[in-house]
Amino acid sequence: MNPLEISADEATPRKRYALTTCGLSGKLTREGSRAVFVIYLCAVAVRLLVKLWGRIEKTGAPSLAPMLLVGAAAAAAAAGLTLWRLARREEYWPVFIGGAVAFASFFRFDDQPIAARTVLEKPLIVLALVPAAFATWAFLGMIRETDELERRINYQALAFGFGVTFALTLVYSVLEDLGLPRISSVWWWLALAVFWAVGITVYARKYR
Amino acid sequence: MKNTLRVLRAERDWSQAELAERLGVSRQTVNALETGKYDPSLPLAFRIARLFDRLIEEIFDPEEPEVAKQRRA
Repeated sequence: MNPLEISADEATPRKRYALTTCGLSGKLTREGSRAVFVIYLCAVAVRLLVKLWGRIEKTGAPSLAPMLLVGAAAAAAAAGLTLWRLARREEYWPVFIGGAVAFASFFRFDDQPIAARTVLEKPLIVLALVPAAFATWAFLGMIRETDELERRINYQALAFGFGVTFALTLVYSVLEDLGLPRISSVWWWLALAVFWAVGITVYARKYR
Repeated sequence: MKNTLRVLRAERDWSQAELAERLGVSRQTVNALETGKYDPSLPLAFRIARLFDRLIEEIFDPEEPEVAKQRRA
């Protein structure tokens, strides 16, 4: 082969997910948005049906309980199937957003202790690892698809996000001792994501 | 690093997006390369050279671009 010739692999444009040029919103097609909405609805349905099942078990209407459980299982299967279909087509953005939305919907951002949840709600937390695994896979796929400049920007942005969050965590832990309210560790992960996004915006601007 | 990427692209009447697609990078990367804000890796430099049928040193010059010099001054 002529060394100046471009191989078919190099000449074929790849489907790319530009993390830095699209921002964290990315490009969601109409079909992708619809799939994310379906996944969200299914995840919420699983949560609600299981919660309702717990109440019915307590109040004593056992005839309805199996139906609710079947409904919850069907909703979980529908969400899983939708994610699987998107994953097979390597639709990274909808898989990432759908997985993250489904994962988040398994958690309540309130003060209810885990001990107060029903018998089935506790294993549901473990079930949340499934959409989390999809989201992680999609995220790795998107990182793999980025080009060298985008990877550099992301690397710098992650370092920025990690540094700022680390410093804030340490400072706030001292302030907590001085009387500020205790914050759930979930919020620190959210802070890391926010500062990472800020880092992407700042460092992407540097190369514009 | 100075380069003649913009000129070579203009000669072929390609847009930045077209060149980006041929190289398998983002349009932002092509823009950063053209303005000298980003120096490509060796594999990307080879891809660029092959695409334009030139040697790497015919496209890239290690001398700093004027804009970067002025900014530093």
